[in-house]
Amino acid sequence: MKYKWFAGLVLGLGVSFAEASWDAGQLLSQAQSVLDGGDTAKALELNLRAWHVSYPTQQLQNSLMSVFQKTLKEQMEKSDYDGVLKTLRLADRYFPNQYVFSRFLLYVNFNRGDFNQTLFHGQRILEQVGEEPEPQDEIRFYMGHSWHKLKAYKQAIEELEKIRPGFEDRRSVLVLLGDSWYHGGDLKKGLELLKEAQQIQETDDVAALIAKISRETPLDEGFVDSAPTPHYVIRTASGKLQERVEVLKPMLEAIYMDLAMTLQFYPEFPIRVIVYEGDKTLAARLANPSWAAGVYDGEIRIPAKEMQKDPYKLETLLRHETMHLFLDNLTRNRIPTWLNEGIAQYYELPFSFEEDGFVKREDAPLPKGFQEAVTQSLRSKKTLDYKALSSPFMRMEAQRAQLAYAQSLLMVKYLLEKWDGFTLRRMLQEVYQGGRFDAAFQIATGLSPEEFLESWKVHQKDAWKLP
Amino acid sequence: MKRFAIFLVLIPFLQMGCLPMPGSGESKPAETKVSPKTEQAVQSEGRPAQAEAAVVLQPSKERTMAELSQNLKSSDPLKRSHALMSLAYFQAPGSVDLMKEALRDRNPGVQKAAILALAEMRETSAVPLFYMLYGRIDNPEIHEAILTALGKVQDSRTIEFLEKMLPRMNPQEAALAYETLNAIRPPRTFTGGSGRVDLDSFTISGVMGKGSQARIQVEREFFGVGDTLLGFKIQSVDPVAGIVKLEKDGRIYSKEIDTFEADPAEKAVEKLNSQDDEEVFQALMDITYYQSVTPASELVALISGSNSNQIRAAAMKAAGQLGIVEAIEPLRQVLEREKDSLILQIGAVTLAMLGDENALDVLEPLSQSQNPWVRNAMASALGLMASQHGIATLVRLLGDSHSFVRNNASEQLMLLAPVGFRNQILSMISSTYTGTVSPEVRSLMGNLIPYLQSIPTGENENTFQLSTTTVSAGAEVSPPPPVYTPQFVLVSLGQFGTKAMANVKVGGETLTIYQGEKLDGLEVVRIAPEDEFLYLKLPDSRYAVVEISDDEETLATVYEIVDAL
Repeated sequence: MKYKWFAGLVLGLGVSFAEASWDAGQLLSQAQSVLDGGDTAKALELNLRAWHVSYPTQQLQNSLMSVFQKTLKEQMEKSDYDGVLKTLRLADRYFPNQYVFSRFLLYVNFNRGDFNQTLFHGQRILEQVGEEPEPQDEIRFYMGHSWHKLKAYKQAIEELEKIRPGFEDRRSVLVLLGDSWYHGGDLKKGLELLKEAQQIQETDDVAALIAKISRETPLDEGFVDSAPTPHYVIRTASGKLQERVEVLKPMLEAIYMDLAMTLQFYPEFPIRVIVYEGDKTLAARLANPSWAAGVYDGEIRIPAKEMQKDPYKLETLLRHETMHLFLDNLTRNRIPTWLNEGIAQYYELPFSFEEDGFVKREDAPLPKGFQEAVTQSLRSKKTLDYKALSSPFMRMEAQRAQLAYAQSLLMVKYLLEKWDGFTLRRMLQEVYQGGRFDAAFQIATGLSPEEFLESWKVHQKDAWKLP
Repeated sequence: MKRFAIFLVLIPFLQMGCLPMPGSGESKPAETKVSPKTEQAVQSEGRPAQAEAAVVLQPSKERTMAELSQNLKSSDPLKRSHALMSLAYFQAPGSVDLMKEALRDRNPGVQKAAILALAEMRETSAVPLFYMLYGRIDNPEIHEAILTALGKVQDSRTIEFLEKMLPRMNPQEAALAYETLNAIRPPRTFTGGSGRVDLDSFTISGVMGKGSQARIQVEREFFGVGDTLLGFKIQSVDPVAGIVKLEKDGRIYSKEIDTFEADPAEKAVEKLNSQDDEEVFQALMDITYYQSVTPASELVALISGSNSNQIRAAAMKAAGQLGIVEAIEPLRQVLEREKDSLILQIGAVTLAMLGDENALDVLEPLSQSQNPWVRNAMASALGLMASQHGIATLVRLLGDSHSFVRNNASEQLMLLAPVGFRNQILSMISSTYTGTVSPEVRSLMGNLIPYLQSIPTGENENTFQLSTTTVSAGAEVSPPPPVYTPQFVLVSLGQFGTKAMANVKVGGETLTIYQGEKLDGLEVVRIAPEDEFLYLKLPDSRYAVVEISDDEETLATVYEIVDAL
């Protein structure tokens, strides 16, 4: 008998069973045989067929589950992430909500560098597994690692500290925690944890990090904290504290209130602002490019030289970094770089009535060089694509970074002028509630983020009257 | 013939006793006598019935189909699910109606299997059933199965369905729906502008500044000398003659600055009656931007009418910013029945901005909303109202489950305390939080209570006090009340070119004052038209923040004294 009518329709696996068996036992034997021969894909097909030809026995269930796992493992080893996702969708039909499978969502997204997706799935899977400690540890490890990758050190510490000491990769937890504490400003704690990790297994990279922190420890020595202002605590060299608090306190307090009202979001406080001596050390320590003035990495860090600048410029810097903190608290770093940087830039300029004064924020002047950079890129059709705009700008060389910042600012300006601030707030609220960014963007604007980019290009050419 | 036999074996399951399902087709009474027909079908191939029975006992397609058919009737939901999945796996002809019937199964696992089975069959006739089921069944597993199925079947009708449902979905479903939507929806293209590149294709509607610093306005953008418009480079701007000189390809052109062109805000008002939602929304944005018109009846109609949430929200915002008090009653009505969180948030704040004295009636119930963003907006609105009747609600929100709501409530109370509510707030906090409180709330109180206690009491309770949020937790004490009282009327604050100015009345004489000049013998160090504040430097090096007078006869008042600008 030839049942060609179902050939090639085996759940997308694209296999023909022109002479396939209807005997589950026979199919299982064949599956084992081809599996022994190293053909996992064929083994999966045969298992699936066996599962369908008759109501499955426990042996068949076990066999299918095992071959699914083997398939996923092989696909992971080949970095065939699309294949993994396809197999996962299939496996979920036969074994819904099983951690042995859903864990691969963490692996795939993490390995692809999509840390926001890793966090999204991590949260969801955590809810599924309930109180089971082992899955919880693994999920938290991936989530903590993702936070660390996103430079959200406070969240990384929160997540990683929940992992039990018995977790199989304790050393990695200690390294990530140590590095997070280091970036979080507690050098001593960072060193302790890294040294503990070295006791489990010594590696050169961690040894280098320990040496680096040891060199930098004097930088933080003699630093003291101010009393809360109340929304901020200012940390700096003890001899400079009073002078710096006098300058920063009124500025920072006004910024908190303004940004809180803008976003209708009041983050946790006090917020720590650290003023460092020695600008080069700060840049090197935070692994930032030379063009970055201040840094937000869970705390706001500024070099002391910024305090000597025009108060307008200092306030601009503080507003920019504080907005990053607000967005971090509001979205847990789950928005793309262009939106994060665009919003921070859009709201960074204090209203002023000097040379660059403006009454409406929409009319705020663009930073020098931005218009030219974007004009040229629009004319030559070399604007940055969506992927580049969603990746960290820190790795870009200066000229490309300027275009990235310029495009980000203008895209956010367009978003706010066409859809208004309440649309932006709605989108951020969706993300806060656990929504995926692109879905939240679609809900708020009716466009996918990629479509929005195309729409912005048309708008910008029209607004600037570019031929 | 074999296919026909299999079909007949499956027929009994059309009679599963399920409730009628719209769109699932009629039952087929003529085909209910399954066994004889099966027998007839088998015999028609010339095999004896006994021999056929023996074949069925052996592993075979017939046996599989018979088992699946049996299992569809099983009391075990796992067997029913398995049967549905397997029928789809084998793409069994005639099984679609059975799958549709199974959508009505009492067990959600079976329903899910039926949905996925229909998707596997790429059954477009099931798509409307999926839409209906999505609305009827409130089960996340079923919802996710439907969204997966819609992605698989890829029917163009699904685009509209998903675009409509997306805002109502939870985050997980929205993520899945978004992926499905993107898989089905063809990529949109965007085109813009008229395509014309001549000087008549745009209007220069304004000019600011002089000489080489002069900038012209085209729509919402500003251009200066050296900038290019559609390839024409601006050579010079003459604000007096109202002429802009431009150059292209070595030739000189001129274009008028057309300040007589209809006010863009008035143009926007005309568009409020458009049938095109996008045009109406853009008009609302323009009205809010220009703030030079007050189309009360149009805005009220947009707030009350059956408009999209986006339009209603924009109309509410415009009403609040333009101070349209006619919107108060419609807003109250909307807030009493509305469910959308965005509308509730914007509506509540707008109501408070418009000064509705009875807003608390609608705000108080909403402060108990399930949605933290709605509660958060209520805290902001109550702070804006600055009414003693809202204090109890704000104190209650200090114990909210979400930190941003707690923090917002705390901020609002800090702002209200110096204007006469200090004792009332402290008293309510101590009576509300009598037992053990969470560490988060304790931490918040540790900041708030010392601040409140630092504000002077007694005779000052109902008088205007220094409003500063910069007092650290108990470490500092507020400075004494301001001693300076302005002796002028602050009529208005505005902008002349890039320079801010203040119109004041001193001893009956109207003067225009700029930054750096003196008022009451004190230096004007800053003029902030957007905040309606004027900053004067006091002899003790602090600064008096003077707010605009209520009318042209009342002396200006000090809003607060600050240590630094």
